[in-house]
Amino acid sequence: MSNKEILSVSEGEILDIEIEEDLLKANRELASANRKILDSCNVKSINVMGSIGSGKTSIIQWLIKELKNKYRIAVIAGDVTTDIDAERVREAGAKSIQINTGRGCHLDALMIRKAVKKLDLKQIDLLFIENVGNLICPADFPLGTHINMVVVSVTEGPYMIIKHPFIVKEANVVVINKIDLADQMEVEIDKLVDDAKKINPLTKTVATSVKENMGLKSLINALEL
Amino acid sequence: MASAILQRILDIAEEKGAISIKEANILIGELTFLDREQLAFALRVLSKETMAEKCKFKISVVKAKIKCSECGYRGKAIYDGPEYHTLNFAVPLNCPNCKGVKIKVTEGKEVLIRKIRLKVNSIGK
Repeated sequence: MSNKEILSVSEGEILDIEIEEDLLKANRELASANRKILDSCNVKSINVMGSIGSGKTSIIQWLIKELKNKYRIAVIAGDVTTDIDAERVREAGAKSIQINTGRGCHLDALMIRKAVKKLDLKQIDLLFIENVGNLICPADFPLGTHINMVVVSVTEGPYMIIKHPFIVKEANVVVINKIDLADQMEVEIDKLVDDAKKINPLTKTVATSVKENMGLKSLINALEL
Repeated sequence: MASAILQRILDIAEEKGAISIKEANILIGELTFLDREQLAFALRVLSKETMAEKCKFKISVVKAKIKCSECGYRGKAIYDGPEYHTLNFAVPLNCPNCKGVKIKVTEGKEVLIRKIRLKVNSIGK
């Protein structure tokens, strides 16, 4: 059989192709590349995840106000639509970039790569990435950040942590927010802490209320800032 | 994720000069947030009016495996928690051998396009 015969296939012939390509692994590799870029510029990064309304943006604003004289801070804000969050953190004193994911329910490493290119990383010490409000899909898509922080609030009820073990398993810090409303909501904070520790004994837990300015120092310590 | 899988398959098929895609073998880890039935449905819907329209999407689920950095255990993630965690899949919390918590998932988090079968005019470059 000649080479030509080997290489040519007549119309309608079947060809099997081995691919062995892992799409989530591709995201993880991009996340590692993001980490290298951030490390090379000495930027510490925090991926902030949590449900819609848990208080992610309020906590970021709170930290910016407290830390803006210590660090040069930027925020990448992810949302399905609007630039409300980017504007809120800008008002608090940080540079911000909005990513609108459209129908996407999470940020991924490629989106962060593109957003990071728009920032002058040499002018930044601390980067918050506010993920899309969702406790499920972001767990599958690491972004390359140094810290994964999950925010839950007592207004979401007593089972938010135990019902979302995957994201808690990936969390370095779990914030239990709106604790000023715990009594009204009949939610036990100790129980939420226990749930988080059962799923991920290595995670740090912090109870906060942005409204009542409770727990800020503990949060800063937990984030090692 | 379904769009990303389909797009990758279509790109490869186009590169190889395919006129249609007959079959695609896909592996999904049980620790991903993908459901086999939902993914199959999404791929069927998304592939309409593409060369994958008549493609048979064969989707298999990969069981979770872990590695323990405390005792060196490598193998299945066995969960002994409440029943509701074991109905579908469980988050590996501890090493089944030493009960340590420093475990790393080695399998079960993949979305792998393994193999595709194409109908071709001629082999592409």
